[in-house]
Amino acid sequence: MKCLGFIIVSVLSINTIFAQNFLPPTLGVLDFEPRGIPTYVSQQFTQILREEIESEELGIVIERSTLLGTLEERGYERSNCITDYCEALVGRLLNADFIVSGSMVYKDSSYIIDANMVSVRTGKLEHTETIIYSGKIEGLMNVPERLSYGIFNFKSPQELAEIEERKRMDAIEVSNDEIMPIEKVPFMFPTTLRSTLFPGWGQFYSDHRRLGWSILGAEAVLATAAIAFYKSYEYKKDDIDLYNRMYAETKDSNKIKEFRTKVVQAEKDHIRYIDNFKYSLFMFGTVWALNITHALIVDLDNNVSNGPDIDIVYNEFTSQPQLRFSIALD
Amino acid sequence: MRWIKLFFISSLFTLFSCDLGKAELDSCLDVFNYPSIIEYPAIGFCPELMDGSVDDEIEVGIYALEVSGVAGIHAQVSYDANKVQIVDVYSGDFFDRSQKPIFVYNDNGQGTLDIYTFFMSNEKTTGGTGEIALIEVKLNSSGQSDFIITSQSELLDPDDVPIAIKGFGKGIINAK
Repeated sequence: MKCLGFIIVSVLSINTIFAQNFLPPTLGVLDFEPRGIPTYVSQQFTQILREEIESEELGIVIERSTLLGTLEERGYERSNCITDYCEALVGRLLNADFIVSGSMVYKDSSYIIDANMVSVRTGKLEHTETIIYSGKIEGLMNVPERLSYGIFNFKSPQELAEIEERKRMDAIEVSNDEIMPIEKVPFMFPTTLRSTLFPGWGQFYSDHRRLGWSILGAEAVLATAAIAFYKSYEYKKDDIDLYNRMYAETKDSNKIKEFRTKVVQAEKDHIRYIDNFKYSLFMFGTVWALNITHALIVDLDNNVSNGPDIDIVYNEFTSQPQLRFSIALD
Repeated sequence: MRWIKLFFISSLFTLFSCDLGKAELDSCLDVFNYPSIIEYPAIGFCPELMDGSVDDEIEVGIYALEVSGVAGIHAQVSYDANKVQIVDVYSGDFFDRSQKPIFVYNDNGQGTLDIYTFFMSNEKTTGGTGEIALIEVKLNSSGQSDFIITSQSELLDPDDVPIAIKGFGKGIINAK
């Protein structure tokens, strides 16, 4: 039985302790001091603030009439009590935990709202909150909700929603950044591309001007030779057709011999020219391919300049050449 | 890149399409087309090699090659009567001038064809290379058969004096 009694007492005590801890504080909210705005505006504002604190269950607010009545009963003027200490005393009179006071200033098309929460027990300023509102006066009456949380150093649901939205937008921005490459990857083979399109262009681009001129010159000579051989080949083909016709049409045996000789010679020349044309074209293609190869090497050299190097070096200890593999660490 | 390559290659083909010319030296008046004949003057067949199918009728020319001062020609042709049959023989243009030449032929049907022609124009003689006669031959059976100019053939001058023939042609007919 003794044990059961102890358990019951303990449970009740814990319950009492927790119940006390979760009790909202009692607040006395004084009308905010109007500066540059009508008094009724500040009174209306303060009243909404009281209602917000109550509705959000942030604290138990002492009725305005009770508050004013208490002050009047004692013959105090509100305007005479503006220090934290004085307000703390008022709170003591009201049996409150905190006194909330503040001011509303209209300046440069903005409302500056200052709110102070003074601890009645210590007489010191617990927290101060300043909100600057720019906009129409109708919107001013939405500020108390935020202020009600602010004086308790909490974030209002509206603020939390704004923070969440901001985070979400940041996340979207980051994901967009991931989709869209931040840095455009440059084309890695500009010299090769140019040399492929036109022989020597890549060498000029990569500042190998001498080689560029050499390649261009060689290609020009080979192309000219190829065209010349091709034209000669065409002329000889015409000769073959002509002498073939004359050979077939003549009845004179001497002429036949003459045309036979000519057509055979034209056929030989014709084959020689077409062969030369092929060789020229092959050389032209070879030089072009070499030009592309060189351009590719230049590009690769530029692309892998920080890559591992393999060198042939002389090892003084073994007195032998050896391969050295090195990687730049910078 | 791909369309550039295609364009480049197709342009090259268009610009530099190579069509090899070929000498067509198949004239019967060209002595180089008689490989069986080494020396001249000669009598030969043109073309020397012929192909055909059984029951086909083909034409073979008989030519005087590199002759000079000729007034009359006797060409004796030996052939395989089991495989081919002489259908007809026509006069060639070698002796054609202001007057037509005398032209006679005799086929014994046993494999010997004799052709006789004589130059009738005022020039009396002619020379060079030319067609003496055109033989129309029918292929009776498959296989290869030879046409040979025999040594009985003659070239004659206006006085009927023989001119030595140094080349006797040979022709081959392949019947499928």
